[in-house]
Amino acid sequence: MTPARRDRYLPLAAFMLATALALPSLRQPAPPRVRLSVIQPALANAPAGMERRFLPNPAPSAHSVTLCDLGKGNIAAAWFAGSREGAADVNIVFATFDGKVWSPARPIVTREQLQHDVQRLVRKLGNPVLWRDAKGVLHLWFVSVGYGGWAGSAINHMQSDDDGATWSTARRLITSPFLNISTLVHGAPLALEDGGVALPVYHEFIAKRPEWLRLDARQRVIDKVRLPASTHELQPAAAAFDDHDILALLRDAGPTHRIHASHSADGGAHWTDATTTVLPNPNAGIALLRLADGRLLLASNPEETDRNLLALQVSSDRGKTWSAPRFIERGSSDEEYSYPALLQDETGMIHLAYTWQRKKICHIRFAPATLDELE
Amino acid sequence: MMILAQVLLLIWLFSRLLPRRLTWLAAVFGLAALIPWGHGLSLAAALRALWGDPSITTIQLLVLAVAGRTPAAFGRRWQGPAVIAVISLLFYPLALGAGDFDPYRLGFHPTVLLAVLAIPALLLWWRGQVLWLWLLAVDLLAFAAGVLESTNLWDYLTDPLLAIACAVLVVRNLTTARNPSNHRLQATDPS
Repeated sequence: MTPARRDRYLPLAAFMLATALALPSLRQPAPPRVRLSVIQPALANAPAGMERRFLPNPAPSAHSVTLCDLGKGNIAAAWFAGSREGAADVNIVFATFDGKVWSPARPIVTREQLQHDVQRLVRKLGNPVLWRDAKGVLHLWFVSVGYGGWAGSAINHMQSDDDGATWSTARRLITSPFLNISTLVHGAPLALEDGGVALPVYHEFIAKRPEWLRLDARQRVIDKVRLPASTHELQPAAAAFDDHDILALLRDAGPTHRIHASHSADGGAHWTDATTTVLPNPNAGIALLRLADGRLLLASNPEETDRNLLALQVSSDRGKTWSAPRFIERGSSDEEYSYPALLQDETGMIHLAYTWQRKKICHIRFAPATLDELE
Repeated sequence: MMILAQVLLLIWLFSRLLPRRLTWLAAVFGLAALIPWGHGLSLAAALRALWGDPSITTIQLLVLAVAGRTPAAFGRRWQGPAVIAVISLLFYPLALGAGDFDPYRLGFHPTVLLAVLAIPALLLWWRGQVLWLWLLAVDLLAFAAGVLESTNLWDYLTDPLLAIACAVLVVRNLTTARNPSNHRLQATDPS
């Protein structure tokens, strides 16, 4: 081959080779299908009422708790703790509950450790989300910021094969083309039938947008969906009714002071326009859980401005109507009870955890029958 | 490994700032960015947190520029950089939430995106301009190999630094074209 012909046809050959090698990555994956959790009916001898405990917090400030079922009534929690939100000394801490007491909390992510793992400057840590997959591997996603405020966040991922005793090094998820900033995680994920996971996330830079990440079984991002008609909403809290029908309730950051709702009928691949519900929201995090008996449980601050009231509400018609709130906290206007997390463990017990005055994490455990009085 | 892309970026930057006889110092300064300072953090890690990993297109162009083989399409002409700048002007606001449509989603399993890019690249190749097909082929090879942390083809194709550089090149190359006496560049690739 002459040099001229080589120079002309080599790029074509390289392009054809690259296309052939990229073919597996070019094909669309199978549509997402949600894998519903297997939860036992409520315990016949479950304790009545609500048990209340504080998680042991190793620092003056605590916020953004996440819960995860470890089986047999044991659960795990992670939250961020330090001198104050956004401070350089904030760590992601982890503790487990054996059905009776909480273990001491210990840091599982520090700023310095993350900096080393992802080879980037890290100035602050926030919003952890725990999830245990079908193989028993515990996953932790959390946000970190290099420069700027929370709108400059990126998501990181770690996993543990021994229920949180030891953790892998962290790796960065790339979810945005612009400096990879402004994708934040908050809210419980949904397991998918293919071994992957759907992760409710949100975008904050310039516009606030609820989004939906799909990760494959190797925890690689394979899709990202923006929930339409939502420019002032964030932090989707999702519940699946079956393998394809999902409801997401959205925290309000706009002028309506109401929770918004969006539905997906195809496992999260597409979403309906976000609509305003009647549920008040003071621009504060919410938690949504589908109970084993089919009811929906919502934990939120049912007010328009402050975060001093924290309540539970139940829906028996897939979120169309909600019960009157049952108040868990009724503080004065300068107190904060916020960022709830909900979980029903495999024994059927329900767990609620939330930020208690930014100082501690409070945990409440109760049987589903406790909610009957709400309806 | 990708932290070395920051070193390459710095070597290119210093090579532009230093006199020609001191170009070797650019490599020294670039490699020095890997040395940890306060809290074990290096300049390269601080820059990586700021603007992330450069795209594979940017890395290819940086390698060519450092080797003194800047393609004419970037060294002298304005049309190619203008196309990249205009696409970026639409792409980044939409990806940052300016509307319900997020073009970044097209980069996951990017059959459509690849088809849209391959058609002009193949047409230009047919007309004898091989650069664009080369760039796309290497980007796609890197995507298939998973060289970057990203699983999205967009991150292999472009990045904000490339968009800004292209906008600057459009202005500079247009100005130079109108005032040929100011032309100082040594673009070597006739394509």
